[in-house]
Amino acid sequence: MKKIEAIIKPFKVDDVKEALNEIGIEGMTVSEVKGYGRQKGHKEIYRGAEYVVDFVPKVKIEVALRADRAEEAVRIIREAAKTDNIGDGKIFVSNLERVVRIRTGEIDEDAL
Amino acid sequence: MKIKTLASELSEKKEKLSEVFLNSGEESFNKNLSELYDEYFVKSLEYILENSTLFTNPFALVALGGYGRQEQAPHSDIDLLFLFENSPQEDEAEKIVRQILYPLWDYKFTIGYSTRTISTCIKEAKSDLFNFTSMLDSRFICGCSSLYFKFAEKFRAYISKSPKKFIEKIILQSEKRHNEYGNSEYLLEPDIKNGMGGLRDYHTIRWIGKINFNLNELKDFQYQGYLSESEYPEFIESLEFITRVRNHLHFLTKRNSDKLHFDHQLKIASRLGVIGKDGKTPVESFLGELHLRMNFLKEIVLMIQNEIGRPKKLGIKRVYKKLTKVEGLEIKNNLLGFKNSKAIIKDPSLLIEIFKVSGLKKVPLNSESKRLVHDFGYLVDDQFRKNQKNIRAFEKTLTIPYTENHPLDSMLNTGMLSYMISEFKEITNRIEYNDYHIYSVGRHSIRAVQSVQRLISDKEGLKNSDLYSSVYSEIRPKRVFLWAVFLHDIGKGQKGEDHSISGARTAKKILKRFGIKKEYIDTISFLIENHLYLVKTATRRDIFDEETIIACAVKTKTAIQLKMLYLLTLADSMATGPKAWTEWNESLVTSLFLKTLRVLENGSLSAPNAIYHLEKKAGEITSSLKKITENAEDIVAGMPPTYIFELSNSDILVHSQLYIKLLKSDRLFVMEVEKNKDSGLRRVFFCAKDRPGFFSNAAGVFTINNMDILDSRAFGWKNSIALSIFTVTAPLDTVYESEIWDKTRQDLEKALENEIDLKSAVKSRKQGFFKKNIFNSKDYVKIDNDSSSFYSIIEVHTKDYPGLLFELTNLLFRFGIDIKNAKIGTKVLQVVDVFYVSSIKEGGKLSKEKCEKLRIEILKELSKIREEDYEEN
Repeated sequence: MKKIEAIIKPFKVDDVKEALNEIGIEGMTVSEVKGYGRQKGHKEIYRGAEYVVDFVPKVKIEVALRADRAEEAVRIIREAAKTDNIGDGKIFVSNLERVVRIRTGEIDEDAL
Repeated sequence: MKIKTLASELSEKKEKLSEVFLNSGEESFNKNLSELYDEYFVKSLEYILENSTLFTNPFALVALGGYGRQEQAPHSDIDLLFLFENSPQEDEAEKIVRQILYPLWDYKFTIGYSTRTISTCIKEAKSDLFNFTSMLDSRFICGCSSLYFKFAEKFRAYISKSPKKFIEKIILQSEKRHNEYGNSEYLLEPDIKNGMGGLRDYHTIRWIGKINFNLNELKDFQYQGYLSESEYPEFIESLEFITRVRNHLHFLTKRNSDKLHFDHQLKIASRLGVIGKDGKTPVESFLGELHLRMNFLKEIVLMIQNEIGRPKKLGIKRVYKKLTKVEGLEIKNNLLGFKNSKAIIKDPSLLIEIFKVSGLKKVPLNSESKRLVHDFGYLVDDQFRKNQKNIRAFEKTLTIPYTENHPLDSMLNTGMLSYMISEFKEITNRIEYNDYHIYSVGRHSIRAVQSVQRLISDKEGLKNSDLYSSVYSEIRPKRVFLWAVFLHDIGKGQKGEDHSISGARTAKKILKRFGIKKEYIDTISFLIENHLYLVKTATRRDIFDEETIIACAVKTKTAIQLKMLYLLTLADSMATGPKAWTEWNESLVTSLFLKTLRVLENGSLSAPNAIYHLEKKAGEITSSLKKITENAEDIVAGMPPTYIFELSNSDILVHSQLYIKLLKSDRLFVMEVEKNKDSGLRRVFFCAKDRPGFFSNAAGVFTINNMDILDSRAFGWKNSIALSIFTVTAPLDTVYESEIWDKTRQDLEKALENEIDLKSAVKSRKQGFFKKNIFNSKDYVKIDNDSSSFYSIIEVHTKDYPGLLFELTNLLFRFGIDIKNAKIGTKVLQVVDVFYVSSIKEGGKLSKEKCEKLRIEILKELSKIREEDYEEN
């Protein structure tokens, strides 16, 4: 099992969600996050004063899925989240050790 | 065993009583339940006394707290006091308690009990306010009655030593509770007991009444003049409603809970049989009524607290008695009121003036004046509304910072807002059922106005408050902006339509009634119609895309409107609730605002009426294009505003025709030459599939064909199409000119395919140039990373020579830099070249390090070219 964490531009959330739904991935966790990567935040100037946005607002989407579906999901997310502009985000994929569905107690792939 | 039977009977009876309540919503449930408990205690004590002679120490059973008030809620503790004449022996009390209470425990009743003598009672009351207030509600159940009355007498004597001190303590505690439970979380999911306007507020004034005038029944509030004849029944109804809700909540959760969670709200609305109307769902209607009731209770409590508790409290703080100069108003005991009702009839303006004074002097209205405003509201007519003095007074209240007794809140509670603006009635208690909006629409409108003051105050600890206050200071006129904030949700009174649009329309009607200038009305209705635009754009569009920013600039039209819209957006979300007002959202909206503002203030769009001319021009181009193609609209939509703005209509038409031609062909570019026989200059138009390096190659090709570039512009369209215009000197041989142009085109095609070495070809062209032009000036290169949100701007001042543009653009290309926009100007051999560039690989502006490296590299290149030239010659 794999866990995919995608950090994307806020306005791309619906596109990514729909794209994942289309390939049958329906469960996900979405959160509003802030951070920076190579984009390193940015600054705006107003009346001589600098307003530095050091942590840029992004959305994090987390998906847990079977290992054999991870490649496809990563591709789909990338296609949907791409704008070709700066700060499109990143996708992290990691191994998932254990999953438990709280209500039923089902484990691992049954719980996905 | 007998007592056990009593307990089982009690349990059954409670069950039946509950059923009756759940089926019919019977109002006296809580009193009936208290009486059931009484019955149990009376009978069980009788039984004990009959079957035992051991008790020599007289005692009484006393009900405390809610049970004492006969307001027992379904799952609340039974609050019981075993009052003994003398300190009971170790097992003496134990025996009684065991016999009476154990059976109740067996049947899952929850009981809070204590065993005390009169003197320990007083001691407990002294040490703990909670014990004190629960004893204030004490009621004799059974046992030795003379003992209870002796206790009541002692307790009364204890109170009368310093009643003011107790009242102060109680008010202090209630204020503390309001702070704790008054925050927004509790507005969404109210606490029926401890929240603002919850039952605890009622208990508080009941305790105050007990202390102050030995309140016996609730009607005493009216007899003592604290509640008017019309307020009393509303007070009772509100109490009954809130109590009913609490009972349902207990039954629903099967325990002693007071917090009304979301899923409870839906269920209780249906249990109460509430039906939705006027476009509200049942749960919205239910919450609307609950808020109304709780708010009424809160108002009553504040009023009674102010009347009974306030003078003394302020006396301690030594606040000077404030005076008002307004004829017909007076301040007494730190409360503001009308001198008499005749004054209002003589000068109806006092009806609004009193709120202004209250806000400016920070003195709340007394209860009598609130009643008078309510009763004389009919005096507010169109003549009143058009009176400049009244409008100004109202506008003044919009600028008062948030306080507990804010004049706008008082105006809402007294109905004054609805008198002034009848449409406000529709939104006063409208609730939106979601976890986002925590206030009713009416209250939210007021909070939004107050939020403006919070945004610009440095006391709130907001990260960007200096930005907000700087923006606010540039807004003019402020009253126009504040009207927009106040009315931004007025459209929520109507159903169906988008509330921004209906709100803008309604606001126009309202403002006309007040005789506000048309120009201002237009601004206000624009702001209302677009009050969600910035949030939507910031969260749903790419704010790092220039198109988004330009579109936002076009929409907001002027910097002043943008500034108003920005602060309105922030105030609105701040007043909506914690889920709407987050740093995450704020930071997106602020970025969008600053980027757009820069376009409106510094860019080509900052010229007066720029947006208007832009729209006009786009329309003209579209209609000309319609004559030659069906896709006119699409083509114009692809042109960036700066492009439309800076080129003439005829140039744009030439480009558009080239564009149509390019789409039909499989070439990399198409070109068109415009001849001007008189001046000996040529203008060459290009339309190309955008690829980095095109501009540089074109410049080089002109040079090797012996044409000097005098001026050039380059633009990118949105669909990856590059457009450029070069103004060049005419070819040397004008007789065979068309052949030369054919060669130029072929050279460029070869250069793009790397089939010719432009670099050395250009080099050979410029040989000897500097030898002839010894007059030299300093080179100057500036890279500006601040003026644009999207591009680094490179400015190069140098001496012109053949091939300069090619060398420069070629250098940029080698650096991985994409030229989005170029402006090349030559004045008598002095060149000023401006390039708007971005990084090809990373997108966006160049890093600081890269800027500096590039600057040095350009300077080096410029001097190298000259040195080579000197050496070779």
